[in-house]
Amino acid sequence: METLINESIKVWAVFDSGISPVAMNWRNRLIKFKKVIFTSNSTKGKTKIANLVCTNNNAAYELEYNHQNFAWTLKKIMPKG
Amino acid sequence: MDFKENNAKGIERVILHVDLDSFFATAAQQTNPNLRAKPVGIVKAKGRSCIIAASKEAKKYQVKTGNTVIEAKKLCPSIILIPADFEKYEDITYRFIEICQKYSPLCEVFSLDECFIDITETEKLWGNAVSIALEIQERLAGEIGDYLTCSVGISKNRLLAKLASTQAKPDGIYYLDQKSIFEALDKADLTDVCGIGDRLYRRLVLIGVGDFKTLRACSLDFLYKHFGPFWSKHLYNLARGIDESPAIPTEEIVQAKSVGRTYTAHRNLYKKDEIERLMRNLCEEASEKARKMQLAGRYVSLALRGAETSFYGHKTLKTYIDDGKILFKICQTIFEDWLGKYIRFCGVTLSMLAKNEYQSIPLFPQDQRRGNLIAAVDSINNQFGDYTVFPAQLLGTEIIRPEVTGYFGDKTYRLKFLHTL
Repeated sequence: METLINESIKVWAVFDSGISPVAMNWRNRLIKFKKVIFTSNSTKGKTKIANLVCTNNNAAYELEYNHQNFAWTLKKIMPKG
Repeated sequence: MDFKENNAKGIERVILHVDLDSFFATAAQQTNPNLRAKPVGIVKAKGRSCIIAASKEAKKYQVKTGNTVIEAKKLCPSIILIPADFEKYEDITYRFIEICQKYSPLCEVFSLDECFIDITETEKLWGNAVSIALEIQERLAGEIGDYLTCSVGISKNRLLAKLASTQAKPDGIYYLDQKSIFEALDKADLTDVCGIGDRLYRRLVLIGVGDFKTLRACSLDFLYKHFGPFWSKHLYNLARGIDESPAIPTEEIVQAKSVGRTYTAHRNLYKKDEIERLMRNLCEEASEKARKMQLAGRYVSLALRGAETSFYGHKTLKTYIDDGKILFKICQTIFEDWLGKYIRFCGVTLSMLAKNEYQSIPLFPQDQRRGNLIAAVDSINNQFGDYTVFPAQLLGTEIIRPEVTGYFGDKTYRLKFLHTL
């Protein structure tokens, strides 16, 4: 149903009224996103963390963005089907 | 905008009760589209044996909160079990509260997924109560998640508004007007309303009262004879849908009377040192909460539960404390009276709270150093996250971190000190 990953990734995103990831590079694979279906925010101490769930035709991907060090992490993958 | 003033003038209130539908499960379905339209059961963590929330699809199979996993699987073999994500739920809650607070300053946060909104004075700004309810539903879907839904009950008091939202579920709106009150009450079970818990319900059943119609037929004298002066009036009013309690906004929430933390372990804890580590963990959280609220307490209680044994001990101190280590030492002394073989549940509470300025100023250098150490640790943990620095006693254990509970038991702490809206 879902696979925990917790790996560092590179993300292309639009920062407008919110954060909209467009694509990511994970293990040298380019994965494009079609839609952001959920965003939430949390904090670790004073550091703001954004959690975003992005989808394409194959799966939903939960990403985490650290506002302090601008790092992206792929938290989990939820394949379709 | 005073509730009592309106009451005195005979102005009928308009109260909304907004209740997120199957909150935890729907939040999981929002973030994982594969789970949508499927029966989902939320467990506290992987491997836990109790369902803490069920999706509406699972509820069709009679799965409900409190079922064990085994029971849930018997009722619904295809149920999908998902571990809870309290950080997500907490974020959704704050955003949900922000939406509700837009419609009236008299917005009471009742639990993690319920708000009462008194729109008596503000209704006209948005048209009417139903248009407010519709707007809240739309905003929830548009701003937080399109799979999230809520049910809204509208009536003249909190009791009836909550009853209405229960009967509107899921994703419905129910305006309960004067002439439908008895019909709505008679459709409900006694325990469906706030104010009748299991114990009161059992006492009612013992005297032959199993529904609201029968309860309404009881005179006040009869109820007085069986339940005394307070509960008789309470039951008499409940049966008639009478409730004068106001919606209490966050700013008016009274100061916390206690701080604490409880925890049910994954397995039975037999060894003294592992029980004490658990106690220490909970003491650290309780005392940190107190310090954040600038409070200190002098009544310490410890609750432990094993298989068939329950233990409760307490101590009243002469001085106020807010130090996790001292709190733990007191709990250790209380623990000496425990005679059980093992525990599964532990709860630590610090009460008789007062402002921490009432603590006596430490005279001795070691106490002053201790105070400085605690302040430094708090500062580091505030900056870098809970338990960045933690007592050495907790080394090697999986630290139990603060998390929000479904009934939002520490809402004073969370709404006024942790997340100011």
